[in-house]
Amino acid sequence: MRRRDVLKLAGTSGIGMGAAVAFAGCGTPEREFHIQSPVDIPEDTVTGLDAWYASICQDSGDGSGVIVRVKSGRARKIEGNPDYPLNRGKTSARTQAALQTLYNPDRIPNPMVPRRKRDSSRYRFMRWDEVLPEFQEKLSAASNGGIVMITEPVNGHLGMILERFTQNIGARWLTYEPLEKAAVRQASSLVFGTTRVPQFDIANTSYLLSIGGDFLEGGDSPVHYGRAYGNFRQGAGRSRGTFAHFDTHLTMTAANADEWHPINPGTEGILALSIAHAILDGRAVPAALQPLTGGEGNLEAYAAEQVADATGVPAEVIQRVAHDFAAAPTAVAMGGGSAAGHTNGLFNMTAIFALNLLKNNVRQKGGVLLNAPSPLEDIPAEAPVTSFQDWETFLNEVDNGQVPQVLLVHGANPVFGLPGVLNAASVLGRIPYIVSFSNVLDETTALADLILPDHHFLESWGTSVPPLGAEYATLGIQQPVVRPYHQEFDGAAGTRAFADVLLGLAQTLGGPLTEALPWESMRDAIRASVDELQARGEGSVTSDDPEVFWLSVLQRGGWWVPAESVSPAAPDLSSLQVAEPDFSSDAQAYPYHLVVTPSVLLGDGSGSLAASPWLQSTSDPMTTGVWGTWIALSPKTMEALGIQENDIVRLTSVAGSMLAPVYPYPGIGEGVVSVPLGQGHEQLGRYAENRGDNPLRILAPVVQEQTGALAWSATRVRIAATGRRTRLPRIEGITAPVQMPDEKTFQITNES
Amino acid sequence: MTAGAMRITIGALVVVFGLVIMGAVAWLTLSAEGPEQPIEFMHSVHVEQNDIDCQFCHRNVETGAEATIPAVEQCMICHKVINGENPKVTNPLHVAEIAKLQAHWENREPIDWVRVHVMPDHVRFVHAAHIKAGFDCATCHGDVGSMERVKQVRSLNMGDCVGCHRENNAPTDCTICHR
Repeated sequence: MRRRDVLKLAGTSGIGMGAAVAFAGCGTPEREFHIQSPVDIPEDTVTGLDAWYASICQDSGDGSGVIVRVKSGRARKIEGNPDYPLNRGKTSARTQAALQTLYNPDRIPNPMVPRRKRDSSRYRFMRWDEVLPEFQEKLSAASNGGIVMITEPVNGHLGMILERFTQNIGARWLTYEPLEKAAVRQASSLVFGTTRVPQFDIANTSYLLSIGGDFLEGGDSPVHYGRAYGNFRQGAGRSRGTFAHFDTHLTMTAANADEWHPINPGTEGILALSIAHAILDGRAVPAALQPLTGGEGNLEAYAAEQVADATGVPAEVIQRVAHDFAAAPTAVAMGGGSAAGHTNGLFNMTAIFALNLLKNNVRQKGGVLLNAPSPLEDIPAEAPVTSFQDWETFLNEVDNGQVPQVLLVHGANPVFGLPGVLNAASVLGRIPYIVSFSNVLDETTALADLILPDHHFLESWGTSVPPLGAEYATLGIQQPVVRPYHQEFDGAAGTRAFADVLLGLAQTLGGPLTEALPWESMRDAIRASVDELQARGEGSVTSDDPEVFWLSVLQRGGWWVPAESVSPAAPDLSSLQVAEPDFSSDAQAYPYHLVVTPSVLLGDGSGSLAASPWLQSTSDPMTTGVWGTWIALSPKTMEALGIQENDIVRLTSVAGSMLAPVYPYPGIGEGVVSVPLGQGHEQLGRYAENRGDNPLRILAPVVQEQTGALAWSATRVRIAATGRRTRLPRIEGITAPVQMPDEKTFQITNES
Repeated sequence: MTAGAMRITIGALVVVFGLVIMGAVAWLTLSAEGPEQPIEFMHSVHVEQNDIDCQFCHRNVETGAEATIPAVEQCMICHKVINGENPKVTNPLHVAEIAKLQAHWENREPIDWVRVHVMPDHVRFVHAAHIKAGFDCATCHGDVGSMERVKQVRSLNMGDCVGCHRENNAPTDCTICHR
């Protein structure tokens, strides 16, 4: 008897159950035990050496440039691409952990259909040629406006293909972004005259003022800003920069600041105007900023003493920060985070960004740099984002009987992310034919009538126009670095690239669709664009030979050219309304502000990051919590409510309630509750399922007035003990501190 | 049965079950016989009887991370003439297995061997460094030359690696292997 037979026997016999349980966890798929003799002796290549391939990481959220070490056909390690303008060799935990989304044991290996409609517990594997004809038929029948496509906001070639596909087949294209950044984008447009969010040149500034801008853990690219931040503090040939930060609670960004001041939620714009008032110091408000005065003509109402109570920031702090900001040789003001998620998010962001106009630092080193447009005209740098208001309208329409015939979903998980009161699952469930292209079973995919699993990004072609890296106009190229893990092999159907499926449909459906999308595969589409770049004869790679150019571009991970100076429109704040924040409900019944915070590891919970054990078990940088959700409360609040650490409490908003253990956090105001995002999945495989709770579900559906975005910071909650306790897994505070014999102990006290 | 006797019986059962599991693990990892291969390739015939050096076939072991499995073409360098038509090849098993190899070559089909030694992805093991330090292949792989079917003779787990590194004053930093 061989050991393989033993394992097989153990799996099937009752006697072997114990052994099956003992060994199932260590199981490697049978085909992983194969090693191939190639037919021919490879000439010119030494086999058995590491190969590093350049590509783009889609798990990082910003499209970081990466190089991947591949040996024996397996991706073994991911590092940053040292050449790539966005991240210059740096990576994040998410990028490092992308190997685990590639080799995730819960990936969907083949096309599949549920055995019973809307039942996500049992599926039947199918072959591609069995499912594609019916799918095409349904699309053709619905092509007169009965198709809805839902994706994540996506740029680059996939963005272009989606735009042309939906336009020519007559489909409605909705994109889903859980924590909408509409306020940041619109404020950029008003203040800086460009719709792309600018790059705040932290690396070269001497004074950084951030109001809610959580750039080290959230925002456009924590990796880019993390690198810039290193330069800001310790860069060669410059003195250490100073960093003042205002936020509702002590985020990781706040913990890195020289001074952090808690601020009352929603008053970030008022604080910014107060700082502006102090900077102006009696001088007249410049004409461009007049709309911020709300018709008063001056900012006297925002004098530091006047707003100290409302904002919770002492008047002398406001005056000192304003003085430091004005006096520094270079200074930059940035905002974002929860400040942009209030009903008055646009006002907050505009007021904060306008401080840069007072400093006159736009397009200056150490100030605000404007990002270059996409290097190719037909390849979008920005994805269109469907606002929350439009999502609400769409769901209402479906609810009221205007049901589309076909729903296509890729990369977005609205059932998980939309506020629970919208009942997205049951409303979308009315659509008779739902097709998901996800390669993991997420909450939205669980509704699908047909699942056509996409390749992982390390197995497929794509491009990315990075959100930052203003010095260059960049096209990053994502190439397959390994063969698909689930490929057509031994009768298995395997996965297929989403873009290739769309392009295949465009070829067979004919008409204007074929004309708009003439390529047979994503690789061909990218090759055509790269040939266009080659003809320019400039940039990071040049060659007279198209083939050499193509290979060199793949080797470098993309192509970039120094950006031409972007000339923005003049600031135009005339449409801005000065606004106070509005909250979901009255302060009596719901006394606490809920601040949901994107996790630096798991993001906002969309995508399949929670299915990575590495990310799950990496400590949250501030609380050291792992594998769960917690509710951070100030010790004073806990005392007032009679709640202990690790007590499970219920947060209730007007929209619903959630449960999680309490984590005592001194870095948070008394009236504020903070909950990390990323957990609470009902699906998503063995590592993510039924772990923690999802605060997005209990957000009140409050809309930002001027942008139509979800005001995701505007929810108030009440807290109630459940009488139950649990132990939140974390690293900090689980053993008593130990006095090392040869180390002196310093105790920090309030006494001077 | 008294409560005390019951406890002792349960304790004994737990110990016996534990021993059975441990025995099973040891047997499964270091089983008496290696796995069946698509071609019954015999190292003993090549190394013991014909004195071919390991590196004649595993030719990248001195330069690369992997020793590498030879290409079919490499086998055919010799087996073009050493096959059933050669009067010196008389063993019918050998004739049959060489015929399988020839079929792979003629159909241009790679051979899917069953892996015997597998390192996890998070370990970066480099053959070249170990060979250059003067270690014999047999240190880790055992006397493969005398095996009819290759099997694993050492556990090659982390303790095994670290133990050997310590004995030979090789570095034991985490990042030597995990990088």
